[in-house]
Amino acid sequence: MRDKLVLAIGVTLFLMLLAAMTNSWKAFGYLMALNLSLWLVFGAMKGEDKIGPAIWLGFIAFIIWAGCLSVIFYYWGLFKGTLPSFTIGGMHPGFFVLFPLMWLLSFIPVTLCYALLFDKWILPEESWNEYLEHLKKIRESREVGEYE
Amino acid sequence: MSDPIIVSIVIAYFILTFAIGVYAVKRVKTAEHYFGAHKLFGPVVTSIAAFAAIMSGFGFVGGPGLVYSQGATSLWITLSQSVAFGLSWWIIGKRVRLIAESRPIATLPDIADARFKSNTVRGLLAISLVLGVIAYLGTQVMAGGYVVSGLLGVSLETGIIIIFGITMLYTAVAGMAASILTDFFQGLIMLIAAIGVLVLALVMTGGTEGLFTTIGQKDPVLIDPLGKGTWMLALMWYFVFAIGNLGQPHLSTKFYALRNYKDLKWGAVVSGGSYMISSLLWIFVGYAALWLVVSERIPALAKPDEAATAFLAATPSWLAAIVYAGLLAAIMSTSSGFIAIGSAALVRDLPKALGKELEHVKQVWWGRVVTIVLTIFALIFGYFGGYLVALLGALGWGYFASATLPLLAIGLNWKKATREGAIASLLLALTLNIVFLIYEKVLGFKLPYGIPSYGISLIAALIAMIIVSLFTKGAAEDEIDADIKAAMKV
Repeated sequence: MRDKLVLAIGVTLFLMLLAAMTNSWKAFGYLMALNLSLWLVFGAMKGEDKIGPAIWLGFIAFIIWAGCLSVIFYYWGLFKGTLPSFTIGGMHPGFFVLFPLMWLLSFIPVTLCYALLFDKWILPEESWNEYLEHLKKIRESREVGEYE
Repeated sequence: MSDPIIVSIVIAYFILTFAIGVYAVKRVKTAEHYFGAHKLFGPVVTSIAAFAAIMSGFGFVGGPGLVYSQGATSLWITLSQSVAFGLSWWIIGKRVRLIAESRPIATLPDIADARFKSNTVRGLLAISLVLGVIAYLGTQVMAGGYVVSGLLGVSLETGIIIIFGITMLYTAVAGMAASILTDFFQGLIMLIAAIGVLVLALVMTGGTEGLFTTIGQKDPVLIDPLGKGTWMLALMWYFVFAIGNLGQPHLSTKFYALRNYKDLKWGAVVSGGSYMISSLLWIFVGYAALWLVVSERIPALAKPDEAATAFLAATPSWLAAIVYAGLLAAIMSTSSGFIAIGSAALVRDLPKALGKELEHVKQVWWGRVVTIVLTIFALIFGYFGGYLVALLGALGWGYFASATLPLLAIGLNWKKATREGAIASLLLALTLNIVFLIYEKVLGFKLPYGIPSYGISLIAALIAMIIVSLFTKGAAEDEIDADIKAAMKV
């Protein structure tokens, strides 16, 4: 699974490069949303194959980014160069979706969920203790990289 | 001479910062403490320090200046940070902290060497860091000097000596420990400044309704979500700054400063949340300055970078003083981190890369000497370097990201990442950054569609790491040391 993710990250990066050099900025935006979501899954999964809640985090993050970008692009295009026909708190509707909406919404799966999932998924105490135990065995078998 | 309230608060800030920095020497017992603050601090100090290190003077002056001149384009940089810290914690936070439990990690090259078992990787990364540190510090010299000179009414040279003399001294005394502790203090100042600015800007302009409506009637582009830049610029900025955060050495080094693994838990929220609050300053100072000009309360600014001072001139002295202290805090916090990183690269990493190593006791002593020498060199370079400073100053965020991101983000999470892939990505990052530097700064060309060149360098370096690793085997899978493999498995 991890190998496949790395390849997917690499492919989307390459496509982003192509999109950038051809000024296909909408495509770049969506590919970027996909790429960042893949990075999130890549960081959140455990071992080689344990995906757990990582896939949901990535999916939700992608929906937020892609959805917000779509609305931003739409209203930017609709009111390009002119005052918008409606505002939200005085803000251009596209601007409002950028800030504060996408800014706050994306914070939830990508940043806040790190704390919410830490004890149960990211590094439970049991996993930490197992890791320490494993380190102890490694030291005893003298396989560890030497302290320099 | 400035307002006496401003002068008093700024002087008090300098005294407190120096005292805190020197106090940190009590924590320094080993070379790892000095160079990396290895497992020295708890979550709140480290997380606030992480955000403070990332928020440089650009967020106080350059950023608002760009908002003033371009509208929302530059906001795609600062708004990416609501996810950037989270991505950093997810992708490398746990890995680095686990490795710190098994080895006396004090620098990024330490981590890179632990993973890739290569003096070449260690050496190339150390060289990249030293180059970036000198380039960065060089650009801060005049900026910091002008700020202090304007605030205290002293000459530019005296201003430079004050701000960088203080930074140099406390960093020399206590290394990264001083940098982190002062960053924490400086981060708190930045937060207070940002909240004060937000409240005042909204009161002054009649809230967001008054603010954006007034500006929009003058020029609707300034209030749309893109501003006067291009979409490729805005979106590439968002990407580079979202993912590139973890590649910044002054952030990624914070993970092995955590005392306990549980300290990771709230770090992203505290760092990211703090940065988000402080970025309100970038957003609202710029727009408030625009509002002041559009509503004809002040004349049009001669230079966009005057946006911050123009806004602060319309605020009460005490708030202006706190914001100026926040600006100095931003410059000094980032500078001290870079000085500590540069010193570690020269004293610890480059010798190790050449197969030599100083005794630990001597490392700290030499660390202090090199800190002073490095800072003085950067000051001379920054003061006399002129065009060269502007040239190398373009090496910044994107340069660091392209050099370290492949090694950390991919290397610490993918067992098939190889030593050859790491070397290839490092060499490509260095080469592309220098080539683009010459292309843009010397020859005067630009990439099409407003694409920032460091975005291309970053993407290319990441792809190189993946592709070269697929066809090589060094330091991959079974060749990874057992403790590193264990840290990658958790």
